[in-house]
Amino acid sequence: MTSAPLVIIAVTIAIAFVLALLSRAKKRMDLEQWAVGGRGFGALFVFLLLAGEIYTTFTFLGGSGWAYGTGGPAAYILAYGAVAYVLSYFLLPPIWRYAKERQLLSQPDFFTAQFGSRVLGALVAPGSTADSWLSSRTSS
Amino acid sequence: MSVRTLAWIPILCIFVGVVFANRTYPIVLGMPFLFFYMVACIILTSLVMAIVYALDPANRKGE
Repeated sequence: MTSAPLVIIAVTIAIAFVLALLSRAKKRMDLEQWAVGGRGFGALFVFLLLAGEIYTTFTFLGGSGWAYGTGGPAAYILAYGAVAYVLSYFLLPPIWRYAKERQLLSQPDFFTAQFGSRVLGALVAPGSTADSWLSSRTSS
Repeated sequence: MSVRTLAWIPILCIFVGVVFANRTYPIVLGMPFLFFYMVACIILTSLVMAIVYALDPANRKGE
């Protein structure tokens, strides 16, 4: 009885493994496929991913604790999300077009191409890794 | 004047308008007024950006 969780985990891993093998049979798999889904994600899928992205532990635990502790100032959590999307409307499409033209995959790729400096790309790499790791845990 | 100028509306509502909404009463829809104001700002942001997106010539070209 106590081994039930282990069985569930093992079955899940086995299913994922079989699915991965099956997906390999039909499509070519490379770094582009792994990093950006072969650049084939539709608008609705990206929308859902972004919606999932902004709801983190902070939204459910940190945000409510923050609101309980400070009151009114916690309303900034609502404000910065909205402002971020307004800014994104101007910032992201040019970056997306630029990266698509040059077949870039990651943030360091972008900095390397844009500023012609591999050193800058290498400097950005740990920062963007740390940022995506931290923001997946803490930001709203 | 570009339709993109409209994006200033939510920015100004959030950064400047909030100063005048800094009060608890009246309670609207069960929320303190400041909170209601921020929620209204978010809905306004969505509406304004939807209009900007629909009218911006940059989005006409097939991508």
